[in-house]
Amino acid sequence: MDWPTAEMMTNVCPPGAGYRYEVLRKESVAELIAALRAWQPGWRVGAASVHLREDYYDSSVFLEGGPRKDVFTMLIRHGDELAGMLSQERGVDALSLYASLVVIAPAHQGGKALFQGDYLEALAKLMGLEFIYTLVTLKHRAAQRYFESHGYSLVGFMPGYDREEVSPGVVKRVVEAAFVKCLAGREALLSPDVSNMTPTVRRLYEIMRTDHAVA
Amino acid sequence: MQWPDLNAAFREVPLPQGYRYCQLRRVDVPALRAAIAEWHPDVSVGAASCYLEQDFYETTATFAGEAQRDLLVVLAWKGEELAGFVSWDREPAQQAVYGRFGVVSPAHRGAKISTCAMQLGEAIARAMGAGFIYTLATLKVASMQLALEHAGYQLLGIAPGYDRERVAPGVVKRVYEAWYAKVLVPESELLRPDPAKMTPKTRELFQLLFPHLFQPDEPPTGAE
Repeated sequence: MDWPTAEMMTNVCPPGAGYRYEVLRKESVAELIAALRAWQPGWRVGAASVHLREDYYDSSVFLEGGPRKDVFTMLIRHGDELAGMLSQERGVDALSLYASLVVIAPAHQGGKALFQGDYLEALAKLMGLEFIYTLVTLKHRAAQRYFESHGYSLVGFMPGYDREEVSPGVVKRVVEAAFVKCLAGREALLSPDVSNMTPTVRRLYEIMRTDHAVA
Repeated sequence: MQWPDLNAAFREVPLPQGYRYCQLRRVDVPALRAAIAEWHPDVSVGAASCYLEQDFYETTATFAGEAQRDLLVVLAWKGEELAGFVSWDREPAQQAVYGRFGVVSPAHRGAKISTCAMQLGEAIARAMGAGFIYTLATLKVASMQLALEHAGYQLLGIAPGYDRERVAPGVVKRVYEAWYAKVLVPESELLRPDPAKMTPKTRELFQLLFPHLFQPDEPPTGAE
């Protein structure tokens, strides 16, 4: 279950015309951190802030040619210019993929750098992973729409899990939406028995079943 | 974010009469691994299968009296008998605690150890300054859901196929889990999302789950 090469990802999910993938290398870490600081100056706290720390890449992120690690970061370049990054974490035992971060440089936003198809699904399938999940901001609708339009199901929320600097010097806990896509066939899922649910769980399960978010 | 003095948390949330807490020691690991394999053989695959491996504890767990790591394991004993365990991950960037995995011995189920474990997790999280504690509960049995609800945790969602489990000898399936959490900060420290920034589907489920947080500042049909 090794992480794919840039060429493998290009074959299954090519980026926009003029863009290319590059698996993060040790020598690109400082460039990435500087770019993220410039693109997202408010990231001094919260889950995304780890991506601004060099020691995070040393301890947790797979760097091309280096030892196996559970976090994978793919850069998107336009020529030699860094245009974006995508970061994911694999759950080896759960055969799962957590999409932890996607950032596109302001100069490249608007969809032109984006790949055709579902990058996460293509990556998961290359690695034999069966379940993709992510937490999506409620600060704008674009990410919610992206996941809805790519076949992900909204399955709940995390109210207060992450922290953000909402204005200079003011840190608050924020609400995020949880989206999932299960790539395993229906026969691979154990359908739960409603008699093993509390009334609270059963109520939500029935609503989600009506909305086709669960089987 | 450092794990706090556990003795204070142990005193705050006492186990039922006859039981006692003890932080995991190196010497306990073989017995714990054997107990998990016996009590809950379904986790021989899936996210919790690492709890059956010695190396997992050597690289991840905080042992009593040793350097802190991200995983904290607390055992529940009755006399010299291991009755259960619970474990949490700390997440410093989010200032959050994740109730990762725990099992109660079949011989001690019904003794309210699970509910104590939920409350203990909250006491530990508060003592270390965490603002959020969350966990996943199986939908194969209701006991964990009940324990969380009794401990005041809120249901946040259901993840279809999140983990894998052995459901019969030689048969592995993906299983549903419900996730629960408790926000440990005052509501004033939570940024209420703007319903106008939600898609219709997001807005509908959010309003259903969190009516107390759903206070539109502008008409929900507003432009993006």
